[in-house]
Amino acid sequence: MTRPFNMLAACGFLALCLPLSGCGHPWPAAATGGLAERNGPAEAMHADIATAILIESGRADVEPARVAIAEDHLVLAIREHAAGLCEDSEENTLAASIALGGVRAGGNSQGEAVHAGRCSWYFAGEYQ
Amino acid sequence: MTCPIRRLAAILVVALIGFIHAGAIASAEEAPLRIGDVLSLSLPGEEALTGEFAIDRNGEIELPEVGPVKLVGKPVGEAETITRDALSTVYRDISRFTLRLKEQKLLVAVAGQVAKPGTLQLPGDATVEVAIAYAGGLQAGAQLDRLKIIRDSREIVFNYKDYLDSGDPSILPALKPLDVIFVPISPLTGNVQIDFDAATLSRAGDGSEDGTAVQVFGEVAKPAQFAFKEGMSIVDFIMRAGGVTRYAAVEQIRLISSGEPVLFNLQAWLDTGDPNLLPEVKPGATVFVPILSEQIKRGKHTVYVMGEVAKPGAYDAQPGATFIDILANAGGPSRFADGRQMRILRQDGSVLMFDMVAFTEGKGEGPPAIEAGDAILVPEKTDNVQPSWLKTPPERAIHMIGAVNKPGRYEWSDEMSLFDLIANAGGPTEAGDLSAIRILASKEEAARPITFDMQAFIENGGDLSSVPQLRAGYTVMVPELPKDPNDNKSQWLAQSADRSIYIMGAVGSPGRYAFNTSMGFLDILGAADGPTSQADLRRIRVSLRGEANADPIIVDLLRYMDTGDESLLPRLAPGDMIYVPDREREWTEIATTDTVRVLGSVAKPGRYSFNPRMTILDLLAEAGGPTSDALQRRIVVVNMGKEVVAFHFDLETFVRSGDTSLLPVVRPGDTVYVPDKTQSRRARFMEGVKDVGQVIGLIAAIVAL
Repeated sequence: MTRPFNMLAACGFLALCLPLSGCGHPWPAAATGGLAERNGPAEAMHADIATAILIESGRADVEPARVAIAEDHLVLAIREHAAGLCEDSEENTLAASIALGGVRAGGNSQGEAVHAGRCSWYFAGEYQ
Repeated sequence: MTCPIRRLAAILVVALIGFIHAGAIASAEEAPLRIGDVLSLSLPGEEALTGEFAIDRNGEIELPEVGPVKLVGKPVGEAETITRDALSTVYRDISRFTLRLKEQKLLVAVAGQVAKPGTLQLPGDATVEVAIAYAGGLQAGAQLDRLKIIRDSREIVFNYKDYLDSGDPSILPALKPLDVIFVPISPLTGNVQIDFDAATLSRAGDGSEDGTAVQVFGEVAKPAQFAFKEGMSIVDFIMRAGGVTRYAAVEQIRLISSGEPVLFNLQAWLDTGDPNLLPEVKPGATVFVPILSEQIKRGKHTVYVMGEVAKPGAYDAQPGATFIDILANAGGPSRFADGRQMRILRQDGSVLMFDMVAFTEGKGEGPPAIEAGDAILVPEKTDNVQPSWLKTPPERAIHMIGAVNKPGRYEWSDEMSLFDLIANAGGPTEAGDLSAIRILASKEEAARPITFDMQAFIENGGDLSSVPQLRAGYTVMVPELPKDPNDNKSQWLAQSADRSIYIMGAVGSPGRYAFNTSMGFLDILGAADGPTSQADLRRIRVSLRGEANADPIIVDLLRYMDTGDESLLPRLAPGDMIYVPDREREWTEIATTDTVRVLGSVAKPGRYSFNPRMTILDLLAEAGGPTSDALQRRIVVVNMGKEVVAFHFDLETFVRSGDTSLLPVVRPGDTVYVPDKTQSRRARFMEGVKDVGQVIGLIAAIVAL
């Protein structure tokens, strides 16, 4: 047998092993966003909701459970947004807004978003 | 009688008269002269010595030219001799001088309680009585039993009253010249001079202060002190005091004589006249007539009337008095009397019944004869003698039943309200439930139920028009609360479903409980002894059975505990159901969306409740952490939301770097898979090499064959 043939056979052997080894099936993408709220809201809408939560928390006539529920939804929305789970993030954002009785978009005193997240294009509209 | 005999008789009579007179004169002239005596002197030719001369207080007569001549105590003859001798010193011829006693006089003084006190010249044989008469008589207030004669320095006290009573002259002392008769005033007149009223003195009695007076007081007309007199009985003294009053206890009169009390029954004495019943009254005794009200009346003919009569008490029933007489005297039966049950109690203990109502209707027997000592009892009507309930016709009656103090049938007027009715029925009992008053409105042949929450109305107020209007013929029922909130099993039949609420699952005492709209979620939870330690307080389910097609409400009680937000607690209504799930419930009962699945190389793979605020790290810790053969670099998280996306998490890198951006998003419903090391690429490559080698070896073996 010639050397090139031997090398070709070896490569073919390795190529056969690779699929068998599952190397052709890569692991899912790396996760992220598990504690994204620690970095602050990435979207203006989230920032508006966070502000509204702060405001509502200081009011005597607010129902504290609604604020707590809104906060939970906001945390999830931020995490999901950071993880690229855009539809889920949008749903939780809406839930947080509803829990607060509606949050006007653009009310964020901080102005623009700090980060650009994976789902930025989802929040192009205004939430009332 | 012949003339000579008549002549002789006349001579003898004249001689006799002369002899007597001479004897009287002779005896008078023999008596010693006294002060006040009047002497008759005569000396012819001397006008100044002819006339009457009275012996003065000094016992002398005053002669002109001669002066006083003491003659008191001398007989007349001797007085004449003394006077003649006195005159002979002045006058030469006194042979024809005579002195004789013309008249005996008594010079006394009368003082004290008389009309004209003063010195009096009384006839020689005058007595005390004559002296008092000459002094104008006694004045009102004179103390008659203690008159006295003051003679020289001696006092002679005598009882003039006895003389007046008896007329015995020996009681009065003989008067002597210069005596002073003193009439004292009664000590009852006091020390101040007033216009004395004899009637007042009479009312005050005539007792003196010497301790012999008899005092009479108590229930007499004129209580006073009265002079003791022998022979006077206690009755006499009582009469002196004006007799007994109508309030006197005549059977209990007391006589205290010589320090010993004696009981005197005047009634018995009047009944019998037995003198042995009269106690002896001694000087200084006291008679007391007590008032009747302090005594228990008891007499020979006493009959007692008791009970429902106008004037119950003891009555003196004379022989022949009938039952009707006695009852009439007692004012007759009152309107509360039970005339059918009158009783006569005999002294021997027997009891006779008498139906007076039947007697008055002419049906029953007449009343029994009454004897002294009997007691007539007229009892009061008992409660069973009430106006018949049939007297209220149905069209004017309303029915009040259930948990009120006085359920029954009441006469009704449309101007009254439900509150009036319940108040008239005594209000609800302690167990009465005002939150669900049932009213059965009857009209003609139909009846419809109405429920009214009076409890809420009282607590919160409301429009009065919301209070059901009642009418005659209605039935109002106040239901009763269970006696023990936990004792529903024994009360479950009585507890209607529309007033109950159901609580089941992981609570201390699940079951059916009485409920009204004033109670809350926590009230019911507390009544059921609260959730157990295994209760899943985040997923309490409330079914609102009163609302059609209503989804169960999930109550997060833990969030309520954290926030205190009352809006998290549902508003319950009777008929709702509360279910408190158990944390350890069947796994199929736990919704997929409530848990995170942890699979693979962890100590405890399974389904875990997950808080969205947690991270994968909390989950892995709860699952016991990765095992020793876990491929920690390739932990896979499958997010199963709107999109199903898988990510891998490198725990080893995270642990080394602490980069939180590496943490995946984990939410309830997601799946976490921890592969083992055999899942690594190297392991799988070597496995593939191994498999290929085995295939080549097999082919080579076949070719070789």
